[in-house]
Amino acid sequence: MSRVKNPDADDTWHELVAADPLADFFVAPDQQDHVVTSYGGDTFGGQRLGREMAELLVFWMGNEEYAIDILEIQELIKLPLVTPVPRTAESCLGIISLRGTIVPVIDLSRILKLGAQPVTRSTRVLVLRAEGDPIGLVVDRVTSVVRIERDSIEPVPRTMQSDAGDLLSGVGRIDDRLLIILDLPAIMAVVEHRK
Amino acid sequence: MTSTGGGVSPEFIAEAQEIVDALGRDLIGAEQEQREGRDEVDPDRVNNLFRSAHSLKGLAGMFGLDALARLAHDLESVLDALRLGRVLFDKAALDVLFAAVERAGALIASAAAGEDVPVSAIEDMGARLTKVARGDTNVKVAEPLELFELGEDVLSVLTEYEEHRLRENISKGRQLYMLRTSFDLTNFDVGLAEIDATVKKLGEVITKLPSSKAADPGAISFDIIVGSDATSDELAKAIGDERVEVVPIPRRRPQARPTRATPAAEGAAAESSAKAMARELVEQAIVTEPDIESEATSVRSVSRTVRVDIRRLDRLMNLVGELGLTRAAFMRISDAMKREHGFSGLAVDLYKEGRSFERRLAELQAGIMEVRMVPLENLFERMQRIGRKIGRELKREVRIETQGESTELDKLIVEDLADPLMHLIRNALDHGIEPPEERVAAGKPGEGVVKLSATAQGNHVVVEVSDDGRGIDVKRTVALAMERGLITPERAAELTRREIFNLLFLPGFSTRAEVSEYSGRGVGMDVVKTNISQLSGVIDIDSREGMGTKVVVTLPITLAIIPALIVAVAGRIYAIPLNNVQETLALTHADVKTIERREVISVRGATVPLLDLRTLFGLPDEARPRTVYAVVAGAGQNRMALVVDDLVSQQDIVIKSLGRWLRNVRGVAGAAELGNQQTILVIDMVELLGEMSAGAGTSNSGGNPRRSTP
Repeated sequence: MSRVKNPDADDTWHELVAADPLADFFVAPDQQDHVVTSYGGDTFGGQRLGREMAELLVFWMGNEEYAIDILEIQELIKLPLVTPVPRTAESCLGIISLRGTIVPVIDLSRILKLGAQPVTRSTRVLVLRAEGDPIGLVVDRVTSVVRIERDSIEPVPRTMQSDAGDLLSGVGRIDDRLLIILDLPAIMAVVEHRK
Repeated sequence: MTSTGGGVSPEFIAEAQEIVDALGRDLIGAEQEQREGRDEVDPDRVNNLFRSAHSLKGLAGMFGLDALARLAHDLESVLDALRLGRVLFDKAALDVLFAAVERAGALIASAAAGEDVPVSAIEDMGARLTKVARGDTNVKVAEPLELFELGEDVLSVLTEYEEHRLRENISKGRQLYMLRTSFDLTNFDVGLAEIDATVKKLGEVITKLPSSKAADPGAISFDIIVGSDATSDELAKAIGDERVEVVPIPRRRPQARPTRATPAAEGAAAESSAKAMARELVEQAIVTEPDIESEATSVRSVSRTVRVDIRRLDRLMNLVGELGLTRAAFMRISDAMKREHGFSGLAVDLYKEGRSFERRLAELQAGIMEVRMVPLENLFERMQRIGRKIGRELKREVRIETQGESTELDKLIVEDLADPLMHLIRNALDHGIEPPEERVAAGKPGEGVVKLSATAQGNHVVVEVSDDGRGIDVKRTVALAMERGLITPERAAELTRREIFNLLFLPGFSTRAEVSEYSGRGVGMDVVKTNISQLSGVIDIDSREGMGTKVVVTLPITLAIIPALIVAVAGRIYAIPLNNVQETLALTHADVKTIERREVISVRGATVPLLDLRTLFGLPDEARPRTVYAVVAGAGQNRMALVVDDLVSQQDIVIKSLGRWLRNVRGVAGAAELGNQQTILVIDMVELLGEMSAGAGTSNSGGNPRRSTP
């Protein structure tokens, strides 16, 4: 639990994480090189969710909160040594070997045009299932899992439809928090085509 | 030279034995069903039997076992008749089938023992089978199709099998329904499969007829004819899709709901007479079959081979690869211990054990590798047959000779070699070998020769397809390449012979104006080249006008684990498959010359262009160290030297694919893991060679507009 208090984390985030029973999962102990987190229903207090609820994994990129449907995520790992691959899109940092499977690692901040983000102790790789051929997305820090009614997810406001607008599938609101939900098929398309 | 009918291979025995076993299993199943008093033998089972007999026929024919082929053919005829309902599948038929299958087993045993069994030896069995197959007119029941309002439009499009199933369903007293369905074009197969599964629980899908009544252009409609005991409401409910309309097909004459006996009644008399005949057949058979006992004496399978899914071997191979990594880790620990504690005590023990582990592992690896290896024999035979067929159809007099068919290659490579090889043979026959008149006029024998040969050369196998045809017209090739805009006239003037032949591999090139059925089809030599490259192979052409053409394909013997050279460039580590490497040499600045702004070096008298991985891969542009190394790769005159900073080591690697998302990255064959948890890229030398010759003119463009990682 103590590792949660990263020096680079701001206060609001702290509390959020401290309140999250999963915090230990998200910040992996150093001795394990790959931390596999099971996202079965039981991990979340045994409550199975109704069909209309979405479980979203929330993470920060810069100072924005993003979210991905948890069912799309295979696992969460610390950023390992990445082998660069030439002749790929700028956002492709390279490859890693995840228990023998080669997984491309994508810098989400570049895809979202957020500018380069420094790698910190809280930097994580979200390994997406991506239709059976996993893709790793580098994110700044993972904070929590939220449940949100699917119906409450709004379309992306016009004002946000800038450069990365077509990579977003909607916006979720929890109290006054704004979660930007990523459109994974669109991101996969970026990985696949802009070699 | 040509080889047929020689020794029968263990693979054949294994495969034939498997088919016979399957036939036996299905017959036992059929017997079981008869004993349980079912109305009929499961149609899927009869179809299975039929298919097995058909495969056996093909297999036996391929290996020139005429007696077995003949027997399988007769067996197939009987099963076809049973399948189509021309003959009743009764006890008598079953008995004959059992005897025939047993006899097939005996024939395979003889083949395994190298005995030659003449066709005459199975004539008795053939006669019995033929009698069963001919039993048609006596068994056929009266036309039950008359009972339903089925339009000629429907009946005329049914296959004989479907018609039979229709009859069967009617004889069982089932009601017929027409399901009118409409599916979205994009996923109609899913919808159809669902209906299939649902209906199977309640009855049988007899046929699915596409209907033209689709409401909107994005949809496709099917009329599905179903036989079922259920009512239309029950069916509709089970299907549970309001888009599917269940329409009962009305009976022709209003009558009481038929009982099981009704429709069959007319045929009952015929049926009993058929049974009588069958009984008679069996009696006859027993008389004419004195050695039925001896035939059944051995129930042991003659096959001594196991057929294994190649993926299982891949998994084992991967495991060996991982074990290799563990071994490397052990050796590192051992080395560290030696350094820290000197060469004594536990350090020595660990070192020794490590060495012995290493040896065993190498044996294990070699053993698995050996299992994967298959001779090219079967592939060559297939090619001969195809070649003969194409030759006949193209009206060429041609002899196809093979040589070195015992050469072994990784099973996966052999499989993937079939298509490119077939294409090369087609090319030889279509473009190479001239029509007989033309040959005679040119002073050649009317009969052309296409030669298919294989030779093992260390870790490579060289497969050659050569013909004594007209050869490649150099002038026309160049003219065509210019016409298609593949090269500029300036470039054309300076092409060497070799480079001209290589033009044939460019996408969009075909040396023939008219497209023939065999060589055209939009698959050109570029596809052949791509296929070969995917196997880490190299393809080369040589030709003399009027004399013939030779295509040489050089392949590694396996793809699973390969020896590689580990190199360092600009602080990064890469692996280069050793089978692509001819030699390595140390270079200083003085060794590098420039010809037309291309850097070249001289390798024992030959000029070889230099390719710098820094520029090619956009690596950090630090200055080249004073001494670098050149890794010379390529085949024939198509060579290049890759500049690297350092040669790190040589080790076996397991190549892993970069996966779906990065599959288009050119110049990288995959990734490999080194013992120290490091993942490195494997350089695709064949692709780089291709890039170099494609982008000839500059030394660093690589002809690739992609962005590079900074």
